[in-house]
Amino acid sequence: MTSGFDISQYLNIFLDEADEQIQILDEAIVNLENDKKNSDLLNDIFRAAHTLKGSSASMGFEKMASVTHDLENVLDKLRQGEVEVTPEIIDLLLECLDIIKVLKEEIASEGKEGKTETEQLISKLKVVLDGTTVAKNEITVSFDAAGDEHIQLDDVEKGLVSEAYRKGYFVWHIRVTLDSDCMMKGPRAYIVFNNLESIGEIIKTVPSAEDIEAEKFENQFHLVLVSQEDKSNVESIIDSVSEIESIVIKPVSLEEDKLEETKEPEQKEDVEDKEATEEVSDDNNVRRLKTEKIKTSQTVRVDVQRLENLMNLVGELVIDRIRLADVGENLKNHLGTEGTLETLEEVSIHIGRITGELQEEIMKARMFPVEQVFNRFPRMVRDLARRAGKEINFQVVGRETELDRTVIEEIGDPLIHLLRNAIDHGIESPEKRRKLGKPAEGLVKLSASHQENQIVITVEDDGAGMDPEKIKAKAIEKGLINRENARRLTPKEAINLIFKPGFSTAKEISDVSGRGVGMDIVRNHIEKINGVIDIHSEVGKGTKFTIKLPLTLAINRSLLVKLEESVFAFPLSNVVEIINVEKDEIKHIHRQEVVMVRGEVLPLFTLEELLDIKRETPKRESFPVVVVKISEKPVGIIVDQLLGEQEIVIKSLGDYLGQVPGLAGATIMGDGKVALILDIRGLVQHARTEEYARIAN
Amino acid sequence: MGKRVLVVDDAAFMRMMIKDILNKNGYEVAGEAENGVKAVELYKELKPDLVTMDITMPEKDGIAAVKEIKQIDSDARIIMCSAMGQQMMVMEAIQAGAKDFVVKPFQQERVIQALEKASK
Repeated sequence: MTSGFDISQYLNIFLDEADEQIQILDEAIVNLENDKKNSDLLNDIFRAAHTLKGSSASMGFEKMASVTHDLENVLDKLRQGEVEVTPEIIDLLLECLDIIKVLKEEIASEGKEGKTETEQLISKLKVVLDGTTVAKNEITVSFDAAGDEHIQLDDVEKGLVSEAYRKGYFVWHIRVTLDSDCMMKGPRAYIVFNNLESIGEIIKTVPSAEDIEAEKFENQFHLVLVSQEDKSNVESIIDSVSEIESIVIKPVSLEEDKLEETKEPEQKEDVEDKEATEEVSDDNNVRRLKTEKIKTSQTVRVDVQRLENLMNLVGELVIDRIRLADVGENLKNHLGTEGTLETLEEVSIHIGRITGELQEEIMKARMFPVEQVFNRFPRMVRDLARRAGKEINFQVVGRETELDRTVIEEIGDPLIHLLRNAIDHGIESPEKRRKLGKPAEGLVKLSASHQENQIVITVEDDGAGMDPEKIKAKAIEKGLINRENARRLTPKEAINLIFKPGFSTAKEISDVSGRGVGMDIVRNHIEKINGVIDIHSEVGKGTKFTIKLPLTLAINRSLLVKLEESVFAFPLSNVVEIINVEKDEIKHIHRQEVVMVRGEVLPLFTLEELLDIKRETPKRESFPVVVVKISEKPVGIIVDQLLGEQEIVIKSLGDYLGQVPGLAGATIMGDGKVALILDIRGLVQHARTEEYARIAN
Repeated sequence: MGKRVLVVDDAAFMRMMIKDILNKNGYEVAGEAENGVKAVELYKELKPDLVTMDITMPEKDGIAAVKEIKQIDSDARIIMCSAMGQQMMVMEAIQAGAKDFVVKPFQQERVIQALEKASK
């Protein structure tokens, strides 16, 4: 059924379904590792592989079909209990999945399979399949393509080869031919050996190593290399040596001896039987695909840029709506109630409502379930846990929570970092956990949810937690804080020290985390998207990071304030509260003005000093203070007048002005005037350095 | 800019030959040394991209020089210049970290091939 009908019309459906099956495989394989005996999971995986095999074969994608075919056979052995589910098997299954993904991507972009190497993987799968057939008298390692050349491996070497495959290494049969007039062939071969030993282990050479070094060979030698490097890396390492004519690299396969052929027919019949049933199910698949096609045609793919543009246009509309309302209001004040004015008001209200709805719809169109980011984590967590030798129960809650596209793009990296930290530093080793009376398996929980106008994402673990005293000691050692100041910190403040640049609690650098560039970058990332991150940690019980993010970045609720005649906007996500401060409440610590708010010291700054605006600060008996907070301690900013809350559309300052310190952008107000949006993070940082300078003086 | 090469050989004639080959093929001769001691000194001073190193030299031989240079800069790219019959020495030099070797009498292509491959 591969030929005779035009497959291209099914390509999209094939790809959609492949995505679905890959998703199933992704989840089920990772789950299988935690629940090795779960036959339902095995069946799910088997079915997904089977479906992929069927549809890829029908589409004529032979590589995918052959990988899934062998994968299916291996899965069948697992289902029958002939092969046990071991971490190595899981690795192999995941490797298959990776290749399938790559093949799928190739198909998606090219419409056909590309050059992706599948031989290696297939031979690994074959090793597992062969490993279960018992009576094998003789395995020959053969040089597939070179035809007549064979390397005979003894039992020990064979053992090494299959062991290597089981561990996920490559086993390469390499033939090196030196230039025919090469002088000193021995040392030449020696360099090759020397280079290869730096990336793997040579388990056999022909002729023997002694003979090669003694130059007892023509100009060609063979060797078998066990390595983690792929073919092209191995080749380039050999090729860095001069006077080599050619290099041939092939995977070593353990082939069954010809004597075994008597067994073959039975198996073949079996296969044919399966093939027949497959035909039927393939037909079913096609039918199902057809019905799905009708469904999928109801969605339209839109370029993301279009959505951005639409959002921008709606932004303009929102501004005009506000202006229209303003104008209507003014006219009414001047002219009183008049017929046409009432109509204008009606229209204005209607436009207002419609723009509101439009804005909401477009915002929704820009929203994606956070699933998109979360789905790649189970696999990552599993790999990290394996590498770190930890047992992790990874739970994900709230995958369906929707987030703005821009936020989704930015949130991935910080989350990866937090998860890595949790696995690497948070969760203790299984032995230690047992000693502490905790379950050997550590819990890492990632959750997302809507809370009012925010998205809350938490990363939680039940590991060792963070010890404020240790963190203080570390910060002092690193020179991030002096002993005196450290002593005064509350435990919570001490824990917040991990956000300081240059801080890292890892005693050893592992390749996953703990390079000392960790948490400050996480915080920067989150603050870049107007988010806030908070830590709650208890020694011995675990750590919980809470990230609060705005729903969207394009439209923002802001607090508008006035400084003389200029209007400034404080994004509400950064505003803690507004207080009124009497002049005589102000106290001084050194040269820093502060005010006590509910027993806490709040440093005060005027907006003009933070923005570097020169003017005489008016003498007043009381003045409004906007209390803002970025992750750490709050700061009070004194303004002239509060105007109120409003939805504003963020516009960049444009290329001409570029980045202005203290400003995040601008917006157009209802009356057509421009208001500047404050970059609270920048201001607070500026305020802190000022504060330290003053107190230090 | 061509790669900068430090040429080490006790025979002025050999150095000249190598320099000639280098110049013709777009390499820059960073400096030359007539023994291992000088080679190590010059390596520190010049930080060349590549070194061609004779094996038998007075004061300090090429193998000892390779060992010292490798300690200074583990990424040093050194190509040994060997005469026929020095197999064991070449292997020792490779063990010590030399990247490749060429056999005297030099053929231009051989030298260039080795330099090119070593500088990848």
